[in-house]
Amino acid sequence: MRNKFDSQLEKLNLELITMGALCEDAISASVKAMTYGDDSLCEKVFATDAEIDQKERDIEAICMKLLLQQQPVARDLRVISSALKMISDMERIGDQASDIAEIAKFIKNSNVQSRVHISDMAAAAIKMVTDSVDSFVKKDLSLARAVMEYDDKVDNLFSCVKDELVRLISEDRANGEFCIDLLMIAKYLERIGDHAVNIAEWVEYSITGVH
Amino acid sequence: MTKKIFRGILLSSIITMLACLVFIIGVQYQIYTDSRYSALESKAYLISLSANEEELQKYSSAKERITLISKDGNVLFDNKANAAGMENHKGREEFKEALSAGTGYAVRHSETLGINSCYYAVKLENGDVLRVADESLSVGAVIVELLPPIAAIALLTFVLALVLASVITKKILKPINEIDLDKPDTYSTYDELSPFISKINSQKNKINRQITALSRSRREFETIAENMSEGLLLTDVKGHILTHNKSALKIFGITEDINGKNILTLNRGEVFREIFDNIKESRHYENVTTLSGMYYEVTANPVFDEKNSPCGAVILIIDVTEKEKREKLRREFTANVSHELKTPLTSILGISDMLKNGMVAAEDVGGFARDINRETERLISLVNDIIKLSELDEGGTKETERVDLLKISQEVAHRLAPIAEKQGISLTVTGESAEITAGESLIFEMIYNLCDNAIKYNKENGSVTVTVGKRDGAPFVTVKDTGIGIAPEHTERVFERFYRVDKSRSKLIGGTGLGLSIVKHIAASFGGKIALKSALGEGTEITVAFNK
Repeated sequence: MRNKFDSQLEKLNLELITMGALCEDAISASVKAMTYGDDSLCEKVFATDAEIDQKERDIEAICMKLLLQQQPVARDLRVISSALKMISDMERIGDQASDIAEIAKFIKNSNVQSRVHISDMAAAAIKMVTDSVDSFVKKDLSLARAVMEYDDKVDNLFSCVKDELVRLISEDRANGEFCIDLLMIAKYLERIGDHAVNIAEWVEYSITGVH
Repeated sequence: MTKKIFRGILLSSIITMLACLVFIIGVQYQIYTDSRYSALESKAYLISLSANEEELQKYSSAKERITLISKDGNVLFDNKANAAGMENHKGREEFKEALSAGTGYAVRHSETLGINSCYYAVKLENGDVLRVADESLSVGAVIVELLPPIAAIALLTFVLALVLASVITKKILKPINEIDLDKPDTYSTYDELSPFISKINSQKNKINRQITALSRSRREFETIAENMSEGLLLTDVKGHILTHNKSALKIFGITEDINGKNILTLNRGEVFREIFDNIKESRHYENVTTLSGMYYEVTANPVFDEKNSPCGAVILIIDVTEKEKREKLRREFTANVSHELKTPLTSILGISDMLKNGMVAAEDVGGFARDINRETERLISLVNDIIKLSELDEGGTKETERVDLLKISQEVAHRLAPIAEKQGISLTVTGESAEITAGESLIFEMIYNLCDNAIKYNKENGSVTVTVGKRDGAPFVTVKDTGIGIAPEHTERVFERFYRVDKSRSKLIGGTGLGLSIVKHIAASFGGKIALKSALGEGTEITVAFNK
C-alpha cells in the first residue's frame, strides 16, 4: 500500500519538477523574444504555456487521486496540499510568460528595451523562478528563503524601470506606446517574481509545516 | 547432527540398561527361589529332628508355617491355622512326593492362608510328614521389592548416560567442527569426509578464481568509468540513477551522492526531460545541450536484460564545447572569407561593367585601371594569406635551420623603411643576436607582419622599436609601437581570423585581417609564445618568446 503511495508521490514530485522546468523555459523564451524580437520564440512560449496548463490539470488529478485514495496525513498531506497551491502559481507564471511574448510581438521594432534595465529585471525574475524550483527539487529551505528575500531586488528594479520609462516618455513622446508596453512587461516580470516567492513559501510550508 | 548423535547414544544406552535390568531381575529371581528352597530344606531338616506335637508348639510364633501331617493325610499340627479345621492333605503334591521319595517340594497357592507359598515336606521316621512352608514371592512382587534400588540405579545410569552421551557426541563432532574450511586440504581425521573435503576444496578454489576474475573486471570497469572525461550515468526505467562516475558529478556541478535520485532532479532542462521520457519508452535519444556555458552531447541508450525487457538506460555525456567552438569559428571564417573576397570582386565587376559599356571617359580609364589593379592586388594578398594560413593549419612542410632573429629583424626593417618613412615613422632595431631553429621565410613573415601592423596602426611621427635578445637564455623578439593601442576588450580577439578592432578604418589602412592570425600560427609552430601588452592611445607591445 505504502509502496504504491510512494511511487505516486514520486510521480507527483517529478511532474512538479517538469512543470517548473517548463515555466523556466517559457519565461526565458519570452524574455529572449522581447530582447531579440523573434516571432518563432513567441510561438514557442504559447506552446509551452499550453503544455503548462495541461500539466496543471494532470498534477491536479494526481493530487486529488492521492487525497481520495490514500488519505494522507501529516507531512504527506502538506506535500500534496502545497503541490496543489504551487501549480496554480506555476500556471500563472506560464500565463504571464505568454502575455510577455504577446507584447514582445509589438515592440520588436523599437530599441527602447535596450535603454532601460528591463533585461536585468528579466534575469532577476528568471533566477527567482529557477531558484524556487531548485529549492523544491532539493528540498532546500535556505534557498527557498533566499528567493523570498530576492524579491526585493525585483521590486526595486521595477521602480527603477518605471522611472526610466517615465523619463523616456517625457524626452520623446513617440516612444510612448513602446514605453507603456514595456511597463506592462515589467509589471508581469514583477508578478512572476511574486509567484516565485509564493512557490518558495509553499516549499517552506511542505518542509516545516509553517506558512 | 549433534542432537541426532546425542539422541542415538542416549537411546541405545537406555535400551541396553533396561535390557540389563530385565536380565538381572530374571537371574535375581532364580537365585531368590533357589535360596528359598535351600533355606526351607535346612529348616525342615532341623525341625524334623524333634518332630512331635509338643516340641512343635514352640514354633507357634515362627515366621514359617509348620505343618505336621499324618501318613494318611490328616493334619496333626499347624502353627498358623487350626489343625482340626483343615482338610485332608493327602492330595497335596509335596506330601505325595515326600511319602514316595522322602522329601517333596512344591510351589502353589495355599488354600488355607490364601497366599502363594512354597512347601518343603520331609517324611519322618514314624511315617508322618513334616511340612515347612514360606510365602513365595512372584516376579512382580520381587520387582516391587527391588523397585527403590532399581529406580536409584536407573536414575544414576540415566544421568551417567546423559553425561557420557553428550561428552561422546562432542568428542565425535569435534574434528568435524574443527575442519578449517579455509585450508580444507589439511584435514585428515575422518576418512569418510575426505570426498566432501576435496569437493569443498575444489569448489572453494573455483569460487576464489571467479571472485578474482569478477573483481578484476569490476576494477577494470571502475577504472575506465572513473577516469574517462565523459560523464556516465546508469539509470533504471524510471530514471533513478544506479551508478555514476566522477565526471558526471563534475559536469552537473554536484558534490553529494546522487545514486537513487531521479535524473530530473539533476537537470530539468528540455534535453533531460526528453531523456526522461525516452528512458520510460526505452528509446534511443541524443542531443546537444548547454550546461553552465559548456556544450555537451548527451546520448541515452536503452538497456535490455536477457529476456529482452527494458531494465534501464546508459546515459553518456560528452563535452563537445571545443568541437562546437571550432565549428562556430569555421562558419565565421567561411562567412568572412566569402565577404572579404566578394568586396574587391564587386568593385572590379562594377568598374569593368562601366568600361565595357563605354560609360567611362577616356581620361578616367587610367584611374579605373588603377582601381582594378589595387583591388586585384588586395585579392591576391588575401588569397596568399589564406593559402599561408591553411598551409600552417595543415602543419605544412617545415624546413628548419638556425636563424638569427636580429638579422631577420634588420632585413624586415630594411624592407619596410620606405613605407615607414612615408608615414613619418621611425623604425629601429636593437638588441643582441639570438638564434632559433625555425623556417627563415616564416620567421621573416612573422616579424614583417608585426612591424607592418605597428606601422599601419601608428600615429604621425610615431616610432616602432624591434628588440631582439635573450631572456634567461630564451630568445625573444619584441615589437613596440607608439600607436593607437588596443582596448582591453579586444586584446583577446585580435589574433582571430578577420577580426578587426575598428571595421571602418580597415578599408583605409588595407590589410586582410589575417596578419596577426598568421603571426600566431607561425609562433605556435616553432614553439613561441605571444604576449600582448597594450594601452589605448599609448601603443602596443607584442613579444614572441621562444624556447631555449
